[in-house]
Amino acid sequence: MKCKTWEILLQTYLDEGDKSLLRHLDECPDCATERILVQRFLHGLELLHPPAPPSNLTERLTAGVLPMVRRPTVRLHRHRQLPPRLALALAASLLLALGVWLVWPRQVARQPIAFQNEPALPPQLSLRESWHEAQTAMRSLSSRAANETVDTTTSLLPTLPMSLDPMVPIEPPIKPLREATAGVEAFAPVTESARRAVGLFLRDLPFHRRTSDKKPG
Amino acid sequence: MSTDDATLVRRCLSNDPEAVRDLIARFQSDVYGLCVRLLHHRHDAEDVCQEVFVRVFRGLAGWDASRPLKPWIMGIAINRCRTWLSQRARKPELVDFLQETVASQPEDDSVELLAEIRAAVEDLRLEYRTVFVLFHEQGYPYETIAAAMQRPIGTIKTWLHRARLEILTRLRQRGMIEVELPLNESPQ
Repeated sequence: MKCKTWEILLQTYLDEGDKSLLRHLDECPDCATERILVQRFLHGLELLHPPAPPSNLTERLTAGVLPMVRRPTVRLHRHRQLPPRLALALAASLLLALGVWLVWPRQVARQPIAFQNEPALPPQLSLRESWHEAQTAMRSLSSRAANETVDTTTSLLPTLPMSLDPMVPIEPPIKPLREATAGVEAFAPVTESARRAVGLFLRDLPFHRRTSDKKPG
Repeated sequence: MSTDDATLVRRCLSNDPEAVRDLIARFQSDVYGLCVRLLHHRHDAEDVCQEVFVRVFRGLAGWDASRPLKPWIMGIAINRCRTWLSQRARKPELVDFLQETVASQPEDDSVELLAEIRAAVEDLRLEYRTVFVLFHEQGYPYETIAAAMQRPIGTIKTWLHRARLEILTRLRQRGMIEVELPLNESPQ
């Protein structure tokens, strides 16, 4: 096992002059090998000396430093004052800009531009009116589509091959479905309310039935 | 801070060329010695010395007169050396081999021992080297070194201790333990 006490004692010896280092090195058998090394080191420290500056270093440094020390004062002085021509040009530019700003005709407060031929927006409809209009549009489209489908089918029949010739000829509709079912109780709508219709549709869905069954009450 | 330093600074601030010369003469040995040890190059050390004193005189107006002057100047010197070393690392130049001899030529192998210690100091990292040179060569107390390096005294002590141990390790590796010398009981 190697003793490291001498490392701590070396610091106290060099910093405070504590002689414990010397006693420890003499007495500790583990530090016998370190004794010579520390001796050499302490002897070497005594040989250290700062390098001597050259004889004329002071004059050389003074000659080199003095001009550079005076320079910032001159530089700062120059920075504070603008060259006369530059100052005149700057003042003239500012005056010109001020004159232009004062003389230039100001634009009157801007009015919003009105378009002469602007297309008139459709009148705003209430929700009920919109819904009624959508219903009417859907009804007309449905009846027209049904009539056109039958007409188109009929017009295509002569062009079909004989094998596909229907056994029973399709007669053209006498009247649209809505008119034909008017007054028949079996074709009467279940409800006129779209929300109720959706509710009735969802009521028969399996997952909706399960979730609604779990609800309390 | 000594009264002389304050007077000298006041004279320098009044653009007295003689005061500039006096201040340079007062601190040039310390600044130059540190620069030589940190840079290992005498010409570089002179150039850095000049930069240091230029910065010192430019900053004298902002110097806190309640603080000692020497650590402030040495702090500038340390910073300039660090900057110089980083710049020199990017632009490597031929190394100026210092032809330095021991002041009094001893009869034993002190020259070799000193050369080994110098080489070991050169291999230390910059902080350790700075502390070692300022303490063992310039003889600065811990307080002055701490003020110059702007570090706590405990840090300075730790750095110096590690520097000593690294130098001892180097001496051991270089076989500098063959000759036994009598222990000198007077610490530096």
